[in-house]
Amino acid sequence: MEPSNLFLPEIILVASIMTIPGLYMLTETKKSFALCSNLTLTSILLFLIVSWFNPEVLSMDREVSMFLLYGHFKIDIFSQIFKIIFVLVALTVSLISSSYFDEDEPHQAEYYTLLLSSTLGMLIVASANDFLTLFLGIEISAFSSYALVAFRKQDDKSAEAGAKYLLIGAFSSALTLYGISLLYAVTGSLTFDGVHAFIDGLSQGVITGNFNEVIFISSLFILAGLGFKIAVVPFHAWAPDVYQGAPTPVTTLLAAASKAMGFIAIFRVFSFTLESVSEEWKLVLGLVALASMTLGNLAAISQEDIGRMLAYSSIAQAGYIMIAIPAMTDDAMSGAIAHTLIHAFMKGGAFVVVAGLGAVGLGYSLDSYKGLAQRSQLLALSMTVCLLSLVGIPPFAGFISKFLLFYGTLQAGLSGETWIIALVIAGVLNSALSLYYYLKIIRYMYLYEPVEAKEVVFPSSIRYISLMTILLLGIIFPLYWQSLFEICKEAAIALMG
Amino acid sequence: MLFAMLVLFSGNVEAENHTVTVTQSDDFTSYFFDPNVLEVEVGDNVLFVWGNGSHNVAQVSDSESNNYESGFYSGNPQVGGNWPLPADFTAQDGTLYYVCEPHATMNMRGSIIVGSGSLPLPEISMEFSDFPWLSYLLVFPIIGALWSISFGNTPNAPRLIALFTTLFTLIISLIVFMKTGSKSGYSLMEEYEWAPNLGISVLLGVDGLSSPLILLTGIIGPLTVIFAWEEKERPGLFFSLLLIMQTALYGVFVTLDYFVFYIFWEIVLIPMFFLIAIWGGDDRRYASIKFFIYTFTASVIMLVGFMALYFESGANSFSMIDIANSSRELSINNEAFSENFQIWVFAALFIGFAVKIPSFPWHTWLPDAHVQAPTAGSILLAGVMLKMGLYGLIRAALPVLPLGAVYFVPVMVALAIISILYGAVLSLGQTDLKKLVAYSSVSHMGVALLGVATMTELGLAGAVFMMFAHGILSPAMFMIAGVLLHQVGTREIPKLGGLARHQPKTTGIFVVIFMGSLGLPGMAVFVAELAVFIAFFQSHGYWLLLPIFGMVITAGYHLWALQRAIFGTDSEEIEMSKVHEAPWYELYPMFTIIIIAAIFGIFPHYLMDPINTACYDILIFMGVL
Repeated sequence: MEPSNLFLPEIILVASIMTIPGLYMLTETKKSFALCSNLTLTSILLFLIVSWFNPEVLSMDREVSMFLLYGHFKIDIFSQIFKIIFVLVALTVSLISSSYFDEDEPHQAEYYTLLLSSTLGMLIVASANDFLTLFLGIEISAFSSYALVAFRKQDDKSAEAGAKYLLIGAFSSALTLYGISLLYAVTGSLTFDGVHAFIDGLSQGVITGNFNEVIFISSLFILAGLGFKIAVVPFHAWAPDVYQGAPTPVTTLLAAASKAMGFIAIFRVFSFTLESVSEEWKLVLGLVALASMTLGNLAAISQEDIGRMLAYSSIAQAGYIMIAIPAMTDDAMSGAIAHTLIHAFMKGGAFVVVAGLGAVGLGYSLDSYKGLAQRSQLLALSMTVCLLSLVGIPPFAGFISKFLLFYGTLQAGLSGETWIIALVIAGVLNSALSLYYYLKIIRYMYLYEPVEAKEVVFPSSIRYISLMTILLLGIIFPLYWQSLFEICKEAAIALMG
Repeated sequence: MLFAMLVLFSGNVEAENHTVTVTQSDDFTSYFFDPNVLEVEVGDNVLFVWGNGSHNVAQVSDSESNNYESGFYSGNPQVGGNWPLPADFTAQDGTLYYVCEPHATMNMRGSIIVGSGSLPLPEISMEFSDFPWLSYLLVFPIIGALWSISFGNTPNAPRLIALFTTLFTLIISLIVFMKTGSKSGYSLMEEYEWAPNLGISVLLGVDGLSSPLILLTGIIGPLTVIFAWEEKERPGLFFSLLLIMQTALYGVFVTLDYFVFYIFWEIVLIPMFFLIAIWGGDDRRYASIKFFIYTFTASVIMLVGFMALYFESGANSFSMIDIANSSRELSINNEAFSENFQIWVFAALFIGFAVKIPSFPWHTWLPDAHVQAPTAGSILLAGVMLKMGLYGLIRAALPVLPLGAVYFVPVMVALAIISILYGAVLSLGQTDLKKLVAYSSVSHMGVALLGVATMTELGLAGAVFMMFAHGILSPAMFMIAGVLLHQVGTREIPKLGGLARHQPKTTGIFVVIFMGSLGLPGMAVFVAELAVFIAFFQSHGYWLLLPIFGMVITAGYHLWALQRAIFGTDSEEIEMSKVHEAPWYELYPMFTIIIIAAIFGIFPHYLMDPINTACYDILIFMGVL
């Protein structure tokens, strides 16, 4: 096959993005949009999984990176694994959306179109091999999600969240772009490899010149811009409002996929492109990580809204992942990749339950979780598994990814820079701190009586997805974590070159 | 192996003969051996030849001591003649010190350095099993748990399944205990690969340290189930949580891999959290969350310690055996495991373990958890879960970090003594019987910690024996509290009184259990306390008076509680006409416990033999003995 077939997922997505508005003109049945979106995402997922296990079908090799479109598009194990996650999350969102929105909810065609275009942006980010492609991918995804967040425009909170997200997103894009332009001015290149080679030469003395200040400033700008995407302190303020205000399926997309997209960008930029000038940004990233996990966990304790609490927990989780970046080793990076992946599952799984409760009209306050176990054992168990995973309690998957993360980072700390050990210890203590608010939900679900005696039946799509979450986080990942470790290690090596 | 070495040396190398002259100067001013330091190869012969004066040759323990203790001895002082050193004293590396008894104080001493001069490093023997006994221990309760939860809230099936499962695991535990015997090293080992790239495997094995605790877990299992026979609230979930708890506890005691150990260590928390939170008392929500957060915080610090051990050893393995071996090797060669490192990591591990023990000042979660937990939960908590802390300390911290452990001996002694006294004094002031037992646990586990802190064979063995004895008797104390609440309606000691007239059989059992718990000779706790106190006297002298004083208070609060609650005039506050004997499912477990406590109190060697072997091995391995 031609290498351009590797581009098939994106092509299918674009085709589908054009089809859904077409369907809108042809048919009145709203289910067709959801069906079209589900079919598209399922086929892409199947394609990605088949090509993962049989790379020779696509005449590619796991060990070797493939380049498309004049080297602007890179296919390697790192990009493929994240693409699978993005499509999986998008499929989940698409599935729960049809039960979350009523049959007569207006503008469903636009909703699914935007969902697919947001996914397209993420896939582009996963494969981007230069700053412009990266920026374009982020913007495609972000513009779609601005509209998705404000999807229920009659709802004040949704509109407010959309406005906030748009303003802050635009601001952060501008910052990123300015940082990129500074780098371009210094290096004369936009591809990651080109910038990497220039900076490498600079640090080895092949290229002369003192660009330290410029590189420091540009890395600060890029960090600020991307920091908004992954919501780390001090660029986190939008996240609680948006997570609370957006329709829950959209929040699922933001928390599980959009966050991972931000991390891909961070990994590509800091762990690869700017790797040889790590002295410039290491400490800044370490401080951001420390502040992020501590403030995130502290702020989460007092939240009364599940969306806000999970948003702050997301901020804290981003902090954990960030500690691996200053460590600059394969092991630490594979831990970071593993935790980013597993985070998508556990946050996604938690928000699916939130969406389930929202869909049957139980509301979003923590009180609505009281007595959930009496209403549905399955949903309560799924939420429990996700939350214990987020804390990092064995034997759930979150423990394993967190272990890999701390393992790699601690190794780097012990063999070199001792201040990184402090980051690991802070991470470990923060995990214990976070236990408090996660346990609060678990206690509410199992130990309290429901606030209002209301018989509810949860949609079957939510129940099936919850069952899948339990199986994945509770059984499959813990049993086969050697494979997870190997894949992440390969991805880390592919990433760091 | 010794024999093989002998054959090897005598076969290849000609054994040399050395002579030491035992003599004095003609003017009686100096007494000496000539030469006074002799270096010989392994397998050489040494002949002592008498010169002037009346002397003998007697081995002493080191270059300072004067008295013949055991070892070689040429007999009473003699004049003239000669005496060959028995061949087995030069059969392995080591340094032999000896004196002439009459002239030891006049510095008539010498030494023989055999080979390298240091004792050969003992090896940990490992014996793999043909039959997966230990996996059965882990798997059966899980199957029982799934089976039991599938019955939901039907009253009969879950308890029968739980009883059947726990009896079955009790039998396997007994077999494991018998098969392990008092052999040195690990036996019944099994290994399953899990994540070989990281050096993580499910490595199972038992030795004399873990086999008593496996037996304890086995015994407590069916007793808990029988005692909770009439559990009405969600019995399916209740019994399956008990069984999951059992698997996790077995897991902690049989794994020899730091990572898997940690996993089981944490899994224990989850069923316990739900047991307290769903079936607990009025304040259960607070108690359960405090319990969880307290112990989780401590154990994540412990996990960082484990990872530090893993990286420092460089063995790319989480196996306790591998890490212990490389720790010893690297620290002898000064390559890694420096004293500084050992102190830091020991501190991290000690925090993790001390919270579980629980030792002062980390004991505050225990009274809350105990008082709020249902009786079955308290039984497991006090009976087995508290033992995890000390077990972890002895198993996971001592062999790898001997220098760190020795550095922390004063801290451990201080914490142990404070725990003993403080726990006892607080018990004295409690009115709630369950709280009294909870604080007495702090005090008793303080005794066990004191035993570990002596760093002697007897002390360590006493500590492990205490873990078993307390693990048997404190559940019985909690059962008493449960019985009182069921049959009389209150656990408040001042409200009780005169029960002995109305339930003579039940209170008779109460009295025996109280006596056992306060350390009456003939019951298991006494043996443990005696061993620990003798060892502590040997290592720290008259500091012993402090813990002994704690024992006086212990006797005091037990007897005082007994007198107020059981004897005396009939209480006004309870309706005596409604008080009658406890039902069979509450009496039988307590009676069984009395029998077991008496068996091991009268025949302690059944337990002491394996424990002694294991403790000796650990101390030898640490280089303390």
